[in-house]
Amino acid sequence: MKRFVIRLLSFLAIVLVLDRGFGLAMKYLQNHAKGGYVGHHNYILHYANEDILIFGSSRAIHHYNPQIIEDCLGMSCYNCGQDGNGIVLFYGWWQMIKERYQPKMIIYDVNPSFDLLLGEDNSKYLGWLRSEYDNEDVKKVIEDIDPTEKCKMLSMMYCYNSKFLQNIIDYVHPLFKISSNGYLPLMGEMDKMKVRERKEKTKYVFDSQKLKFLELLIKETKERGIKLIFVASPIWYGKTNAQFEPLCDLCNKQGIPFYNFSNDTSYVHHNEFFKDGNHLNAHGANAFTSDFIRCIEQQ
Amino acid sequence: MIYNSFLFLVCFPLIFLFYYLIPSRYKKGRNYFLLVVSYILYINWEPVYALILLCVTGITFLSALKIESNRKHAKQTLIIGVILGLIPLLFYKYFNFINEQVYTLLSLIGLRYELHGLNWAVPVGISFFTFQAIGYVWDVYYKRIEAERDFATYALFISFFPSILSGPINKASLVIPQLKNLRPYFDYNKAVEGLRMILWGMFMKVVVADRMGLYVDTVLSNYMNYTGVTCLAASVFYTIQIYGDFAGYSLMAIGVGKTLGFELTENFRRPYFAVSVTDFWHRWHISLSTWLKDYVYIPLGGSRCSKWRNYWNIFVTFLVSGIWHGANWTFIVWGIWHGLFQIIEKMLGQQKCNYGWLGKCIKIFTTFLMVNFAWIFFRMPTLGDACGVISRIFDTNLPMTFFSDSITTMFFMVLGLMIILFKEIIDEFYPALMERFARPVWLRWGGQILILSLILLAGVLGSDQFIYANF
Repeated sequence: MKRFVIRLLSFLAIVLVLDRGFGLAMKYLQNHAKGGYVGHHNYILHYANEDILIFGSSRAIHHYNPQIIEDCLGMSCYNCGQDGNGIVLFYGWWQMIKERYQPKMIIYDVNPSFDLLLGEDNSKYLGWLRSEYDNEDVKKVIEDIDPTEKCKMLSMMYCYNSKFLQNIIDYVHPLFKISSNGYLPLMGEMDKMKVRERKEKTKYVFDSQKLKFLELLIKETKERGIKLIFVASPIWYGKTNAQFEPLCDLCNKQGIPFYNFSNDTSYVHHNEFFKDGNHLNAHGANAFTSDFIRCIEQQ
Repeated sequence: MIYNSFLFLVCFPLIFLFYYLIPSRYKKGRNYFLLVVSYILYINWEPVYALILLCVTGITFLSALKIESNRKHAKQTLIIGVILGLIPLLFYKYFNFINEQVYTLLSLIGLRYELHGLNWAVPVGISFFTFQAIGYVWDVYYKRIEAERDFATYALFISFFPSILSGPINKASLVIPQLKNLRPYFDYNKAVEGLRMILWGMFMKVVVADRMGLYVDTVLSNYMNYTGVTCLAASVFYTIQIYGDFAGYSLMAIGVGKTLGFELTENFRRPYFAVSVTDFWHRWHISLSTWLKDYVYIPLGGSRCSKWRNYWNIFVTFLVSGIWHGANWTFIVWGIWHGLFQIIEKMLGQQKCNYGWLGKCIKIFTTFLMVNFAWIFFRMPTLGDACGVISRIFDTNLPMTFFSDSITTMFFMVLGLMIILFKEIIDEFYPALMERFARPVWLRWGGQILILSLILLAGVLGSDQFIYANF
């Protein structure tokens, strides 16, 4: 038994040393990324100082052209959109941004799956937050989602789970460069293979944790006098309003504007504006950004 | 207890520690400890279901004693014991399915009387512990073993926490003697081998299976949106996912057993190197196929009967296998598919491979394809969806494009697949090479550290679910 324990502890000690070394190397690569998603992440957290920030999933990063917003509103703008993410990540990022500076406006593109509806497991949104665990406010968000993360984060390799390859690529040779304003347009025509009429559900179950973070974001931006605007950008399929119910209630209660383009007939089923069922192409993004800005200006 | 959960990470070292703190002279005390732990972990799922576990344990324990004490009426006792033992399984797992089928049938003749379906979750591991308990009663009936007189020992055999969730379905003749006295206080080699198995099982689960699962779920949940090539790729990835998932779980279960000094039944032996579907079932879920052979196939007459009767026995055995996996026509078709292919192989004398290496490669490939297509039925929620995926695969009008997920997902999938394939090839065809690899400590430890690092770096650590835990 003694031999077993000694060998096991020796093995774990070697793993621990490697774990620390790997963690430090990853931190270096992340901080020195030349572009790609890691560079985008670094810019948002450590350098962004634009008047307007756009939050949201891939539907944000592909749908809002900051250049049009800058030209129309005369304010600088950065698109912080991140694929497959929602309020959990953006509330965490917001904790770091607010420590550094105060934007004038935040445009939040709402995707019900990521921001409102009950999904399988919210810890899947923690990927981009784990490497910022040193920040006390981010730590709270992470532990709120999953209290066991406190123990898991003892491993630095775990901090970079599923991200280490991205870190290496974005340090050595980023596969794409996100433009200087964060926007990533989708070029090309509609891929008809990727659309099919969907049966909308009639009853939705909402995630109290996501709603709590949305409420906190509203509260914190209000306290700081930052204008927060929620938007549901166009979708080829169209979406029922029922999916946005709790957000509408929240916005009504707090006096926050919510622009819902998800059922706008000038976009729904208009192939020329879309790349796939969920995403506008560059042409659609430009048209939508202009329409959306007109709505803001009219207010 | 799910092995890739945080609970396992915290609980297992504690269980290990307390188990070995009990001095070797208190053998019974160690069994009682394991029994209490097993029940606590089971109660952790759903407390009331522990009563079902206890009930099945009690029924089969008493039935076995009765069979042994009264051989004259042994057959009647066996039938009553098996039926009573099966009631919870039939009720929880098949009630809704039977109810729906009866309703549909009655509707055809104009009778529309519907019973309300059950909204209760199926008790975890019920298919596994029920089969294990029934197998024991049968063994006592066939005089393969003596009935166990100590209830605590028997209860531990049924509820033993490493295998209750998803097997292996252990034989009483293997486990009960170990529980009674034939296991050492601490076996260094066994404990080390157990830890290695846990590590490799975890790799198979979180690095290979769960990573493949991300792609498979994306494609097969919306297969109408993807090309035939993508659907075929997703089906192949599912074939690998289910292997990584279930074999990974089994390895971890056996590994946990070994660290506590137990030998549990081997459950997988590189099934995708099988040269026929018959051979596949000698390598896939071995504990279930052994159970089906011993308690369904052989009692039906096995192969010691006429040719056609033998084919029928194979068919029925795999029909039962399909039904065991779930209350859905997709599982029944999956079982029938496997049964029919084995019958065809038997008719053509193609159960083994008598050709050279090229013939062997071709047979391995064709078996893989047969099994792969059967898995489509296993994966899809309805027969219509399964046929939909298959028709898309063969639809020549669709473009030959392949949906590739993000570069990182594809990289991790390929990396995991390459590592697992490398190990499987060496284990299958060059076992001596593996022994040579394992000799130098630096190489052994290097490999293990690499696997642990990959689990931390590339594992999908948020998914605490196993496919077979649903059965």
